[in-house]
Amino acid sequence: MSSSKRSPIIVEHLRKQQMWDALSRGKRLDGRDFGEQRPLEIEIDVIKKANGSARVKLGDSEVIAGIKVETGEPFEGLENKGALIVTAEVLPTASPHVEPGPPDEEVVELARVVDRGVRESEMVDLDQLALVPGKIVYTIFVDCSVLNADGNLFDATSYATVAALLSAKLPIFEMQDGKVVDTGQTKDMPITTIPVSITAIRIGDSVLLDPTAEEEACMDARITIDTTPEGFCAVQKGFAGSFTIDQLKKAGETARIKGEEVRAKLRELTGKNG
Amino acid sequence: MHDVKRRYVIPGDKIVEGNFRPLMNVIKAGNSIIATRIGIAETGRDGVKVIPLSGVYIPRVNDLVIGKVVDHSSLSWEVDINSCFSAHLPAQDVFGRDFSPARDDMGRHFAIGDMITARIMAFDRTRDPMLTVQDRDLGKIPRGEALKISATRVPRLIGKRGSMIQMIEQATQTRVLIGQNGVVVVTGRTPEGIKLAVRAIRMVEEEAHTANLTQRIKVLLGIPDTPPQQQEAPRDAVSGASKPEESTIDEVEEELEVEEEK
Repeated sequence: MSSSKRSPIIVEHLRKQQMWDALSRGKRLDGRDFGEQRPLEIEIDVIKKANGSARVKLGDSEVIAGIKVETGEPFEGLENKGALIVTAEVLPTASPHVEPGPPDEEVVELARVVDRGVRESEMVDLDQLALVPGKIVYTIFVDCSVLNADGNLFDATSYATVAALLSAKLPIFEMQDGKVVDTGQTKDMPITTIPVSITAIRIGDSVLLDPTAEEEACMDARITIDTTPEGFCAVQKGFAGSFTIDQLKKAGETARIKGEEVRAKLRELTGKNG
Repeated sequence: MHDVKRRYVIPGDKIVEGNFRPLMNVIKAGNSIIATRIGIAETGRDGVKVIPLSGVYIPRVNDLVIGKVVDHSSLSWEVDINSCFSAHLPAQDVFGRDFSPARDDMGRHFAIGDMITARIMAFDRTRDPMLTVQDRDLGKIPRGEALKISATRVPRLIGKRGSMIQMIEQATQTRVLIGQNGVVVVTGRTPEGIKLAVRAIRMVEEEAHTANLTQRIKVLLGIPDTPPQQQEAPRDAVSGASKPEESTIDEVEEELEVEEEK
């Protein structure tokens, strides 16, 4: 698998000034309001050979996710549960600022934040995925590739992962004479809920939803909030800057409202409830 | 320019057979001249060349470029000039020959993220281009809105003897600084004027290859049809254009005629 290393995006001072001017007038450089997401397009079953797949376009950011289901040993301490592993990479063709090389901090963080959103929401009922408890369990690999990077990869990758999981068909394995056999049949993934990630950043006193790469290059702080219909399930705060209590409360509220919008879209697309 | 033949070519097209000199974006294979870029092939008395319709900016000595300072070492700044080559501005160019990295503070002049206008001092494709800011009106750009267009569209944006850009500047009350590398900086009194100018520039970029562009730009800018006398006015008088920009125009004049005649 290729990996990625990113060089920082340097925003011209002239452009920054423009951005600040626009923000002081309550608008963003691309004309959006602070709390407005870019157009979201989700497509499922884009890879025929995978057990599940999805492609997400969030503005100019584009991510493809594929799922492969195999069997393997369970994680230590979680012997009676299936294993779920989410990985992410940013392809060198995704942006001029990405070079081939070992994954850098940001890419590792991307994979972990997306993984945590799915894991902590308990979206997939892993208890149902133990074949021989303690010995052999279903192992679900979700591999995400960023095809085009224009900011907010957290949300785009998260939507791709969730959509791929929702649309995935689980191959049915059986134990015969101590060996795992693929029966050739499939069933639906045991889905319990739909987590939705919403990312906001702070530039000066403005809190912006769904930042572009350019806005991310100017941000003071970033927060990613994962919600389920029941409430919050994961939060990741990035960068050195801080949020005020009020900003956080507002970001949380926005995450719930916007999250519901995205969730409705995912439900409609996959016909799954959660 | 009299017995010049022109036609559209794509890479690999045979332009002409015979003993011609390959000039620009062509290679000679046996007895044929073959295009290496997509564009307009021109077969003239002096040789064969292709004027590209797309592609990145390749620096040429004496070009006026607008770049972004992206890094600096103790001896020079690294400047992104929207090309496959990254340019260097030696600190000696700014501080003089007795520059000392220990004594002089490079951060006082250009910081990372600053936009500068500069001239290409030296470039030979074996080393990265070298810049200079030692000329009138070169140096840091204090304000304005920067945008990037394809470097191949620059001649069309300027227009014959600056006609296009002059029209945009007049109609929108703005000042437009154009680098040969396709970076454009627009300054003006009102945000609306700047916005309109940017829209016009974007339109020129997108429709540079189409006929009747000037007419459509006029419609966009809301200029009534006037006899062409306006275009004869010297550029300096209306927009206070600087010397470096004029020489930029001269350089592209030749390419321009092709664009215009299409």
